[in-house]
Amino acid sequence: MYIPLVKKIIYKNDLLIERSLPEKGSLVVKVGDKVEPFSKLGVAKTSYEKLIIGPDLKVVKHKKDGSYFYTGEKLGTYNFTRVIAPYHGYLKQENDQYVFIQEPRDYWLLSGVWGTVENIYKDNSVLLRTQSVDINFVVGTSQSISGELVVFPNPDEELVEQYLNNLSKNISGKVVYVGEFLSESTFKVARSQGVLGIIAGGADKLTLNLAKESSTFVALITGFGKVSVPSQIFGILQSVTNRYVMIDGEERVLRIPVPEKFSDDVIQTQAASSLKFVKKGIEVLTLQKPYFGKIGKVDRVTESSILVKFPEKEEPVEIFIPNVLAV
Amino acid sequence: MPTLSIFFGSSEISALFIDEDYSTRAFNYPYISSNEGFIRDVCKLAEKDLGVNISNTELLVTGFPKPYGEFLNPKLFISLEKVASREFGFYPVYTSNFTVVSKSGYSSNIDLSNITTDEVNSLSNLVLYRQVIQTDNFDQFNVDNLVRFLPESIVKPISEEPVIMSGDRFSRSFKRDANSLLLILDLIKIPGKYQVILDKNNLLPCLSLAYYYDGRFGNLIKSFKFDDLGTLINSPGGAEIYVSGNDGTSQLLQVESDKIFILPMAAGVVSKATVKRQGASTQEMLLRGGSLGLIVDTRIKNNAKIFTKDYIEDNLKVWHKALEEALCTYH
Repeated sequence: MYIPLVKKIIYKNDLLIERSLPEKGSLVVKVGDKVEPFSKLGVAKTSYEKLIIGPDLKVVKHKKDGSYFYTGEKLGTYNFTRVIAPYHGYLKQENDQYVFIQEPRDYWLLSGVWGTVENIYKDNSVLLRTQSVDINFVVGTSQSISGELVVFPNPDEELVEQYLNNLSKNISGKVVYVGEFLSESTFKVARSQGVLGIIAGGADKLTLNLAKESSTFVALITGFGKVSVPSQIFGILQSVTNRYVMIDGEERVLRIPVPEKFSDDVIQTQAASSLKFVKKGIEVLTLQKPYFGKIGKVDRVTESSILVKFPEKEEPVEIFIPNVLAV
Repeated sequence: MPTLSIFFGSSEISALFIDEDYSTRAFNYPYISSNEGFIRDVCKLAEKDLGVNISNTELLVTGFPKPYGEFLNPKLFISLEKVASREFGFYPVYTSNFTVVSKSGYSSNIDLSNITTDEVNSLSNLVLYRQVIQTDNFDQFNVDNLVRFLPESIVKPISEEPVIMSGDRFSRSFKRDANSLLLILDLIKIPGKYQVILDKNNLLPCLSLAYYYDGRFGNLIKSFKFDDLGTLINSPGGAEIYVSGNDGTSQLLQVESDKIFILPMAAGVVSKATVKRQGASTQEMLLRGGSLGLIVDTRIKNNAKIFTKDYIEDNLKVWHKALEEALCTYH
């Protein structure tokens, strides 16, 4: 019997990635240059922050649309409340409401990957040739994000929130792997700490809905509810903590840049077929309660079912085809 | 040239090879994906299993809402609801976990309100891993509830046409169990008399597609070995049926409201009956036997305000018992 093979981990050479400046600026690399994750590619002036105030701001006297304010200076009053400039910037009117835009500063575009410069698009972006380990997740929100990955050491649920609170200064703007299950309360704590995105093995559907409503990136590796993360995937994540990663929510892929190209052996042993013959010893992902999301090894094969051995159980368990996928 | 008719269901793939002499061979694969690599690999499996080369056949493809595999360059590539809406002399009902497609239309209006977090997770996983079959009766009941309460207008057979229950739900998930039989009865809500036939191999979509493509395949459907369950009489509120057997015996059945009653009648047996349905005039009918027999359903399925999850849960034990007793004689 052949069953589908879930390709959760894909090794890629000769991947082309475009890195773009947020505004027109100037690039400092040329075609053929070798780069590393912290190599500077270019610089542009951009505003990092924007505060939306509203239509009913009473601007202080002698100031108007386009005026410059220093940090701490009074902008005006809104509903009888003083509004103070949180940073140096400009007051502007956009779509009938007042916004306060931070003074543009230098934004240095970093490579984020190891590789070579393949092409340059004048003043705008750089095309890099690189290599990566791609991890496919099964469901998530649809944004594309990139940032530093922080991996918690697969803790118990109760410890995750402690980790988040203890590391609060170090996880803002980063992507966090929180373990096999993302609870609603952990999601709220992570969001309040300003994380850029959250990866987990599983979460309740309602938690994913919350993430969508609040435009917070969440990716689930296995499915909904309390499920397992394949040990190979956790092993890879653990080995790349603090690495700059890229996530494409639409394609459902977490892209981890790596320093060296993969050998031909590694690329070629990646299964060409999407199906795998079921036999004793192969690893399978179980989709049958109460073992949903767990990985085990095939112990025996019958006509309509497979006996799977899980690490924590002595006796093999009968799993019916098609409630199983090869990994 | 032989014909290969493929149905990409919502949780499995079925294929029917029709040779030039009208002999047939069937293939079924219990997984589904829109991925081109997956489809190519499954086609290779089908070729090996059926002993054919797809490029030497007239390839026909269907699915719902849109079939996969257009890159295979089939001769006919058409959505299932268009196939279902044609006149074939029978009334097809294709049921999957989330949709019902019939000659009258299609619907997949899933109501996720009033269910627990675990149930929401379970159903959401079923969207991600569409091939999964339930191994627990309670879980199967919950999944069936997604389509059980679709409006009666979705399944509107007329008495003269046999109703063929087909689709992924009645293929691999069918385990000769009370839940499956209950769903079959629940999907046909309109009062009346119907011959109910079960397609346990999910091949009706392939057969209908072939007939849609070429009328010469019409006899194939008529002669195909489906499972004739018997005659269903929907009579909400109660019924009285006077059955006269060919051997001169007769029986009066009085079935109260909210019941399922099954009288074993073997396949091939035809009996005359006088039927008095609640709110209808007395009618003379011919009843045809089947693997279950005569099924009298007096539940108020055609009233959406009454036919609710609570109504079913309150009476489920009694109905399951009636169905399980019938299953003891089911072949």
